[in-house]
Amino acid sequence: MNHRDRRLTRLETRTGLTTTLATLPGDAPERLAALDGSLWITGRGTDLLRVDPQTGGVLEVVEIGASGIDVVAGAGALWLPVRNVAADRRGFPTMSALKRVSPGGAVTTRATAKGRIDVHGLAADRAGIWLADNTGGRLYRLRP
Amino acid sequence: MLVLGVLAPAAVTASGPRLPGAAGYAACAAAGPYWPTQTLALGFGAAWIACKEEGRLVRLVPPRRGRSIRLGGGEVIAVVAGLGAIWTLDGGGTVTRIDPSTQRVGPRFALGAARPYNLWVGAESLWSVDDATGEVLRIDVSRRKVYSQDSGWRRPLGHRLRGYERVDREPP
Repeated sequence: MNHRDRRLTRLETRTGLTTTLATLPGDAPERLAALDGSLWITGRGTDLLRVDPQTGGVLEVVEIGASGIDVVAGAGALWLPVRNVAADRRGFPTMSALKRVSPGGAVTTRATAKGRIDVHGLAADRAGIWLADNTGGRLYRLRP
Repeated sequence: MLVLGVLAPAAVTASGPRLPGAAGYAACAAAGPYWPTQTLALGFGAAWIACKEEGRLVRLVPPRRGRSIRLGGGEVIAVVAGLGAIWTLDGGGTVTRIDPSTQRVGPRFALGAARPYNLWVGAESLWSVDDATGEVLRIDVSRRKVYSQDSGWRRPLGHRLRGYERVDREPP
């Protein structure tokens, strides 16, 4: 996924073949995760997109707020730190809330940031959802 | 080179920003420029946080204190876990291997990217992108060689990917 021209490209790791599938909507799609047979994509000025990995077609646009900073799959759902409008305009990774999105597209707010939390890293494992804020110098772990 | 240090206790006090419902631990405040940003990896029983401006990693196993691992290179912009190790990428395009058991640093090698952008693990390789050219880079860590798609995955480094045309050759 090229965040400059918004092209989504499939690269076969066994053969090296590449195929441009689609040009994605949004300002700068930057992050993706795979869950339940779909690709889920977000980024600056971009909602959460559910995309067909075979065709690149957008199957669903999930309203998540201004835009997503990152996305990770964990505990059977998607987890997205999202910006508010002001942060989205500046392009900063300042999180207003952490959203949980089910594979069916249902959105719930799992936590709301109190004070400035910048998300520079996002990961998931069996212990929870992890966020690294390298501005504030903290690592957060949330149990699903 | 192996340099370790002990940080402050991991638990974070009630002051400052909070994410209600989440546990918070002290890591490092060294964000540097906002992009690229991939400063967290999970693996080998720990969280690994790249302290971008400080050229070091923090290994954290909550609730224990973090350990600092000095990398000795430039600003570290990405960290991933996989292929039996922790891997970092710095702003100058240097990839460094860290042994997850001993935290020994090295070996390291150059990507040859003008604007390296993040690091991923998949298909028994490391992967990166040169954000200046859009070039996809595949790194065979056992041979410590970097291949670009434009070269049919056979010539190392410096071969710009011409758009995203099809390439019908075998990867390394």
